[in-house]
Amino acid sequence: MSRFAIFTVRFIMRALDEPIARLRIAGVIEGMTLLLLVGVAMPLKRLGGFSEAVAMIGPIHGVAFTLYLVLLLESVASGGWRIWEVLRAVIVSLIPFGTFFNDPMLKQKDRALRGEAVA
Amino acid sequence: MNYDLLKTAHLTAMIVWMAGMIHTPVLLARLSQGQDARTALERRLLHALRRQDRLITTPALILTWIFGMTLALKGGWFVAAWIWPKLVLVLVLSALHGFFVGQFRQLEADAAYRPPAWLGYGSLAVIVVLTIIAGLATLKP
Repeated sequence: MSRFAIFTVRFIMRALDEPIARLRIAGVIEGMTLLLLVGVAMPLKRLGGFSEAVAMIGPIHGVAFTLYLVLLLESVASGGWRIWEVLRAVIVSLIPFGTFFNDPMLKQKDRALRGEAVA
Repeated sequence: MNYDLLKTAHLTAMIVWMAGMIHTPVLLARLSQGQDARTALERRLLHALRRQDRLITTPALILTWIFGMTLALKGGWFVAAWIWPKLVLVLVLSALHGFFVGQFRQLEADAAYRPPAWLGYGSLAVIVVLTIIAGLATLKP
């Protein structure tokens, strides 16, 4: 338990240190809420007439998507981005699983910005 | 969450965020003066500023957006005309925060790096933008 707590604290501290690290977390949350919306809530509405799921997950995804774009803007403003990387980060946020596929690129950029060895 | 509670949380987070946004450029600009190597005091100031940004200002920025978006959704404010310029201005402040973080990164990596001199006007810019945002949110034109 204490190991988990230490890991969590280190993870949060690292994320708060660099805009791109918090962008990665926002990307995972945005990706998960998009999957829930497209993969669960929308089929429930279309096939089962259960529209409450979309009404519940839709706004959560809206907030997650906005936060992802805000943190992308913040990260770009902090420097070290190329135009195609920005375009790619925007486009993947519109596609299910997109932000998950883009995460390795963000991880590499995060390490490069921190001056750490890139695998 | 209750609308008024959300509003309180949003305002509190915004005030904490803006506190960091107003004093950071003033202090960063001080580091840009003089051509001598950075002193131990300046290095300590830089470390303290970065720590404060990491632990207070950045979480406040994130919470301001989360509470603000939830408020706008709950209150149905996205149909109002004033919300859009307000959103653009908050995006400008968010980008400015990213720029400050980029300055921290460069200052820590390179002892000879000096931030641009115009950063001294950063606080004034933040106050002007903040005044317009407050006007839009309260007058709702």
